[in-house]
Amino acid sequence: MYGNAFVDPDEWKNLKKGDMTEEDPQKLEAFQAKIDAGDKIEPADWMPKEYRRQLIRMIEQHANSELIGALPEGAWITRAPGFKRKMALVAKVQDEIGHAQLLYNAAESLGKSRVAMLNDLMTGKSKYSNVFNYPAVTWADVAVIGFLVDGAAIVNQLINSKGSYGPYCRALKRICAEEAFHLKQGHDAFVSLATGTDQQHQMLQDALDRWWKPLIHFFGPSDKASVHGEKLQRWKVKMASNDHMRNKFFDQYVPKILEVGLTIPDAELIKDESTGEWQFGDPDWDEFFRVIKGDGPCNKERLAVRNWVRENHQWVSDALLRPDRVRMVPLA
Amino acid sequence: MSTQDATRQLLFQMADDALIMGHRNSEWTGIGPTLEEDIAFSSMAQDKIGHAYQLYKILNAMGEGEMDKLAFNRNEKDFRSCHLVELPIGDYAFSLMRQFLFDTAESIRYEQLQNCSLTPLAQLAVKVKGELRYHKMHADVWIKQLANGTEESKARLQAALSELWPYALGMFEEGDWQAARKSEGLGDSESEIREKWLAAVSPKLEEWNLRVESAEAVEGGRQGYHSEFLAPLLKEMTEVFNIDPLASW
Amino acid sequence: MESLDPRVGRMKVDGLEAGTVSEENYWESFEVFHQKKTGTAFVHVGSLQASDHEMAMLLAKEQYGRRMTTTGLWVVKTTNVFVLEPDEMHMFSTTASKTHREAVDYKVRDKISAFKEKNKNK
Repeated sequence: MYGNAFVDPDEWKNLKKGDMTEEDPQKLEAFQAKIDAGDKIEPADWMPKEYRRQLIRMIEQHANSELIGALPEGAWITRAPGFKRKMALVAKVQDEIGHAQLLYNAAESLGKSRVAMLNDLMTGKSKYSNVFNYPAVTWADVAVIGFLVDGAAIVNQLINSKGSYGPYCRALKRICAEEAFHLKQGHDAFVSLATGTDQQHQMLQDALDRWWKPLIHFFGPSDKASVHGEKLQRWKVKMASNDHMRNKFFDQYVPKILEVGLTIPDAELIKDESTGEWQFGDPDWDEFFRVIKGDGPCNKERLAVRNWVRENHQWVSDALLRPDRVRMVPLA
Repeated sequence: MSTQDATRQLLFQMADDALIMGHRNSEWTGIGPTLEEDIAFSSMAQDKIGHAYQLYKILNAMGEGEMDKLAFNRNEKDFRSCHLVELPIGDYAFSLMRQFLFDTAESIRYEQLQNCSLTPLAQLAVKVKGELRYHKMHADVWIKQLANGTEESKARLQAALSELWPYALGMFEEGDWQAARKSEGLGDSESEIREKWLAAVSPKLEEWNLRVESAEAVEGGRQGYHSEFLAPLLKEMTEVFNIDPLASW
Repeated sequence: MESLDPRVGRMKVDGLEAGTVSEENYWESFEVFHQKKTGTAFVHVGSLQASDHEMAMLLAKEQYGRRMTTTGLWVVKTTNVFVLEPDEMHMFSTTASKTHREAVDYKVRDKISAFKEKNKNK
């Protein structure tokens, strides 16, 4: 057959949340054995409906996050100070669009079209990482995003790149490689400000104060009570708990923040050396949920921009879509 | 005008054009028509900013100052960019058409500079060949396809061309450096480049069914008299840098 | 819309409704093959959407070639890639055990040694 035609492009529309009925127990067992053996699941393989549904959701949200994530940093492209920062920032935001492209392709391999995913993003039906609902208020915010938000994302991506779904792993492999450049660049901008003039140092401290809670929120609430978590981990869709990843982030980045003389705006942040776990102050999970539901400082603006893109460029699609084109699921 | 000044004039003109053009094009990063095209257009913006950097580097070697200072710490009236590159981005047809007109001129300019007397500039002209080739190919493919698209895409292209044409002619503004530029082996005169440029763009515009009306060139940029758009652009571009021009960012 | 982003400030977004595009608004899908050094194999690096082959090549160069050396680039419409069907995959299940195709079990040295031994005194 031609292309990924064995992927039913309409199946995703009928996937219901938590639907575990009607799965053939033999097929499920073989599927689990494959995953336990460390094999990758490819688009052609049989998979439980819930696996397909969860993966589409996860990869789609990741793709959306890259696309929307381009906006707070993109806001500073025209104002980047100096050639080095200017070119690096354009390249970085370009990479984020590139990652979105790779991730939408990976999600498409499960049957949902790019058009459908962008539609759901524009209408607010599907989500993206909450951290991007906050504004980059100053240049120092760009440095914080470039170093710490990227750092948090890398913790997430590195762990998930060991997951079970082939196309997602392949996309993540390339993404992780490119993120290494982003992190270096972000760290450099961060350190330049921290070790620069008093004014620059203060600008960075102010930005850190603004972004600390969103960074804690980035990994999500503690998933000890999560119902789905166990199944997702068994299927290697979710490779580690939220707490585990947040902890790794603290391990890697707290020392780097402190070594340049910044203060972390959380007096309760401390590592329990006996358990290896970090304790931290209440980051206000009510705010997290409020922002996710649409009440953050930039939710409306993010969607407005994506809708502007749609409207402003519709004429381009209208002019260039060939009548003989065929709808195909890409070979991710 | 002495050779040194003619050399500086040419370098500033080219560097400022590249910087402002690259800056304008970078405004599309993240909000382009498709993901793939967003990525492609962004590469071209980076190329332009990179060319500006290399040109300012040559000026730096001539004692004009640090590259960042030349780009971020000069007065508006000291810029030598043409009005064409200063205009806001408009719709995508406008940006594509501007890209086509500007890059065709740049390709011709750099091509003949490969033999110029200023060695670092001649070397740069060889280096940028590949990038400029891609920029031209990009414009050709996009405009051709849109010109064969819908009534709307054709209308937008025509509107863009009509608005841009007088500004495009302004790329070839001449001044009292012309004689010195010629006599010291700094390449073709602006009129010569314009003639080559007209010979290159006219058949393409005809192929694409796009018309130009004779117009008067919008000039002044090469003498430091700029469009209303440059000052706000520079203000935005230097907003962070000017918080502390002496700081290391 | 008032925004800290000067670009957004320049967009006319007020009054813009959240909307969708028709499901028919998809572009043609292409597969991209990339060679990073002459003499090495072309590798499938991913997919992209474009109007036609020319556009696909233009876009492939940047999405799949901007960060690595590129000595060759192919684009193929996804509809032109003929793919082995999932339930035909069992055809490959015995591949690993066809030893007659492999360089195993040929005890050449033993035979040569035995021959030399036999002819030692001739």
